[in-house]
Amino acid sequence: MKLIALTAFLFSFWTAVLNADYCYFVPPKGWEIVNPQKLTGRVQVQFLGKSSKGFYPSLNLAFEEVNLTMPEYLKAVKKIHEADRNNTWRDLGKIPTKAGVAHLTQIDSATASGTVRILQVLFLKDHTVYILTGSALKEEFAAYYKEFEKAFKSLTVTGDLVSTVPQAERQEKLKASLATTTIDNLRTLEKLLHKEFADMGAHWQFLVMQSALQNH
Amino acid sequence: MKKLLMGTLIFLIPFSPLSAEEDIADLATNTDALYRTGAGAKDGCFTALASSMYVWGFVLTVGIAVLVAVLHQSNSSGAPRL
Repeated sequence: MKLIALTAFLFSFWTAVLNADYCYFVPPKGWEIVNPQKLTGRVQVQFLGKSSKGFYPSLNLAFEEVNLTMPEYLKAVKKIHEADRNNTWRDLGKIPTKAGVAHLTQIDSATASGTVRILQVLFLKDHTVYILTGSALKEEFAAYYKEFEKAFKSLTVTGDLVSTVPQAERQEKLKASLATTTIDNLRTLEKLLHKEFADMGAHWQFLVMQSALQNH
Repeated sequence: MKKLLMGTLIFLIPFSPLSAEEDIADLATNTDALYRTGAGAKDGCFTALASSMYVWGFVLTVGIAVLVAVLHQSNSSGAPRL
């Protein structure tokens, strides 16, 4: 009986591990990744841009496990944001992303440094909501809109990071490199990612490095 | 008689304090989950504002420090004291 229970546990564990999804987006070039230790709550990664006015534009990605449909989740989010009198929340409708059709919402928040415009892309898959948040000062928002839109549309959810590389040759090269990567030669992998996989973006590179670290 | 007692007991189990405790625990879990729904979206907004405001605050602090230093220098370089 114990053996059956153990086998069932191991099977479910490995199924969960093998089906674990990665979610990433392509941040604008030149944006700096924030130290993950400084992130709060469910936020997994954040990138900061540059601004002459001191309020840096940002993009971050958070996950949330839910047992709701998207309309129900949107209702809950609306309630949370509108509970703060400084916020104005709007549902902007649907937006196509690489992961699938997502929802775009807008929050204008009055802060000490002026009104901040926040756009959120919400994508639901297998009881997980992926939340990509972009923010900038409202007066500067038009200047960053194209970059935000590009990043939002690049949102990808995948079970295999290597398979998202467009060319088969590059996939093979990366697989070969990952197979030989150890703790001692992580620098080699890092250099390869920066040199030959720059188009995949800093977030994808970060996840590949992270999974290489976990596997060795 | 025994059957009657057993039947009564089975009927009463759902109303027992133990069962009520389980129901309350379930209710608490569901309420908690409902209350926390949307927390991911809230965390995203909070983090976006906090880190950008942190930079803004740092720039403001440096600005004030520079201003104080400049005022201090202009006071000490021969300006008449009242």
